[in-house]
Amino acid sequence: MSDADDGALARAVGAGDQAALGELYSRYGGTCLSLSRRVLADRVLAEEVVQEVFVRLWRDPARFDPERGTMRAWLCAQVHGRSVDLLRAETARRAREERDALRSPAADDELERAVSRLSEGEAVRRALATLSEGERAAIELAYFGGHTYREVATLLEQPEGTVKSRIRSGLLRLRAALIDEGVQA
Amino acid sequence: VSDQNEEHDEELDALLGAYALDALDGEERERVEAYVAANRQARDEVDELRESAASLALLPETGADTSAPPELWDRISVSISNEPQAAPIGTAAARRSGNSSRVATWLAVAAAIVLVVVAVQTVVVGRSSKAGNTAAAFEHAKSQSGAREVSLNSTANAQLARVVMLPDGTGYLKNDGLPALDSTHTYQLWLLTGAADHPVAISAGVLGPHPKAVAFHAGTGVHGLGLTVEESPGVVQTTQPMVARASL
Repeated sequence: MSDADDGALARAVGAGDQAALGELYSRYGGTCLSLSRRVLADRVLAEEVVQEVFVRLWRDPARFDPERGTMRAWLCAQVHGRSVDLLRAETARRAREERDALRSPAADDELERAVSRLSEGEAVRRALATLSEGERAAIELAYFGGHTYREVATLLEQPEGTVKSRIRSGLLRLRAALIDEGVQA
Repeated sequence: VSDQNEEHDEELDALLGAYALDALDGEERERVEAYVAANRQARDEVDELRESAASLALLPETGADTSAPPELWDRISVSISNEPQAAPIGTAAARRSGNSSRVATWLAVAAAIVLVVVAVQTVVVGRSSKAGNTAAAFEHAKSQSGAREVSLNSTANAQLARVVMLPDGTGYLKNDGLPALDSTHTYQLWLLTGAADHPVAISAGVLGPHPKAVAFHAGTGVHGLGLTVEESPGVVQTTQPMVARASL
């Protein structure tokens, strides 16, 4: 089971194999939880989101379409979307404000050191470094902060059109860099 | 979803990056959603951008444990046991699931919420069994440090249920007088947030037609609880009146 590729595991889940779902959880559950916790700043809520997403995959595995991308990307998109929905429902708004208040340049340095311990994370960091500062800031605030692009524009004191363009151009540039790094096909 | 409308819209194309990061809301999100559903090229771009965005999740938080916790898998495992599946992979690829249908997504979420609460209910009943009866879990919570008990009362001020809230946000609800519903309806518990005179209700779970005791979690900013009667399997946003409310 642990040697099976994601496509085979997805098909096994579709055939009702709980162990296959367990293997997908082993592979991506930690990443999903980390992502949701980062957006929501609340571990309990993040665990609920991850549970919902995996249960949803079990109940309706055809929701994942392998022709449209990888299992990791699909799971992350589901987790991120649900996390942002919760965040905007204000349940965790206060937690986000507290988290944002605690962010500091020193914390960013620590983040970079932690990333360097993981080769894949390091490759993503290098890819991210190819973006302009404006692109990187806009993408990080939208993705990890759960902000709309209009909110990002306000936070960065930039025109909305500029932020909108930077998010798209930054993601396209990131994709090219990830392909160069071998992280994305 | 058909691809009949392949015309490009530069304004909407410019929003695809923000859409891929869930950074749109309201009417703008709906417009892009419809555009992506109808335009193959736009959909392919969103898929590629989401693939890139997912790689950002590999950037770990400082000091955070990024392993998949086994206890969370235990809960997922309980939830999926005895649950039927909708359709095998491959039979519905043309459905183009993803975010093309917000309604479908929310229905799935609502269904998942049912499962989550069923799982929680199992845990509560399990704890109760150890203590000897269902009320024991609720009573045990009451005796914990910092616990606060409130009543969920009807508009006629009848006590229909009681809730114990613990300082970490864990809550336990015990049914005192909620009448049993038929199998096509369910009680649903709501967390009330936002302005007190115009609260926003967020689902805390679907309780079933005749709940006894359930556990739930309330995040920050919750100032009240409410119960509604909904058609099974529950809803994401309620339009029903609260049959019982409590202030926290």
